[in-house]
Amino acid sequence: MDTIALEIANHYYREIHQYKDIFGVPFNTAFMGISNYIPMGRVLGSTPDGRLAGEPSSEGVSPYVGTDMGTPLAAMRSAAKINQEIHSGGTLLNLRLNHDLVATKRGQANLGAMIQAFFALGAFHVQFNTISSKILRKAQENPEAYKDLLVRVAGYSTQFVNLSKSMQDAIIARTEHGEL
Amino acid sequence: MITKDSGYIMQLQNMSVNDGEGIRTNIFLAGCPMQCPWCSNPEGQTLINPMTRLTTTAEVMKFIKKQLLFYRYSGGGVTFSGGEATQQVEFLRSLTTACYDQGISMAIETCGAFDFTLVKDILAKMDTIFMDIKHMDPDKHKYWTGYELKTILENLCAVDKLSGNLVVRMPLIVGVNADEENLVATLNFLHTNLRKPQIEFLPYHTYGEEKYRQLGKNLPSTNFRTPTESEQHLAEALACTLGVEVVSYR
Repeated sequence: MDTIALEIANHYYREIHQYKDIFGVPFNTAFMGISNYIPMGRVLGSTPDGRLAGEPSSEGVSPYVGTDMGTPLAAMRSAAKINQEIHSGGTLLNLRLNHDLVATKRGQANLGAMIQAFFALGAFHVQFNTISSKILRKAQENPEAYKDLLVRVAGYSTQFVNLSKSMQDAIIARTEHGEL
Repeated sequence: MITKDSGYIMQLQNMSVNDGEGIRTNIFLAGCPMQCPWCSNPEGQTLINPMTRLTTTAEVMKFIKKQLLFYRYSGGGVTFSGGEATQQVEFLRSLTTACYDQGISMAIETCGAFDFTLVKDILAKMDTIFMDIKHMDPDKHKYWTGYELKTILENLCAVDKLSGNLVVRMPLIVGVNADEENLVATLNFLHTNLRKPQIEFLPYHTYGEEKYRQLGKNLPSTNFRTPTESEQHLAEALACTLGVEVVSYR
């Protein structure tokens, strides 16, 4: 699976890089959906990963919702295999961790070790959400009480309650990783 | 075919963070000489059932290899759990030898029901040994687990003489062993007999119920209850008073 992803990513770079902008500079490639993965998904047909037409696409190099059956470590190992050096626009990995995992000093040290190991593998970027989806659902129901709840969306943090319903749903749906 | 390099496992679980230092892989080995009715891993009570599978040392090592970097950065490693990991002693020896040769830090979770002379060489390779005490009353221990308490306590004292870090684990189950009398007896024993007495109380939970359903087994008795926070604190305070260090791998 990783080999296929790498092949497609390399192909994407080779094709895009042939085109130049008005200054004669080749276009860059990137895997960074930011929040565009929702509107982009809306105009995109169904895809072989099981994603239905019109659904949000994957963000960056993150596993598509529901396809990461392993651990965040497995997602990291896969994401690190992309040729980061050619995709100069960035290769973004978003992971959600169960709050319990980082609630203690031990857990925080483990998170640090995860990040160090990820970059030792040659990775480019990773960010985490560590809020339980239970809390996010509560915030959806009762936004007044959760005005200050910050979430990392993709490359930026924002108030969860200010996001659109579909964006909120997309964040809740990102597979919640805890102790697996 | 079962050789010394193969055996039955329930699961290989990466990113385990509560059974030893750092980020670990838990190897759940099937089969157990105890039959505790509150067991959270009922698929480990027998060697062969729909939730266990045969595997080999080579296959396990291939799986582990992908995690080495995470072990290294976190100070983690491999934890042998179960079921009772020492039940398949030859397979366990094969796995621990392979890990040892790769310099992987190892821990084991055991209920203490083993023949010490047969597993001493294996346990001596462990950096951390988690060993359970379920009850301090011989009759009640036999009643609940089906196993003699005497062997468990003898093994605990023998394991204490090895170099690894020994942590006693006690599943704290209201209705079975969480009463003050039993806690005092247990803690006094640890204080008197261990070089560096340490205990981790594990509150009873019902997360294993789905597995009981999958196996077509009756659910654990509703008389078993998870201790409240204050009951848990009471146990910890007792340990403190009686000279046993409370540790937590949460």
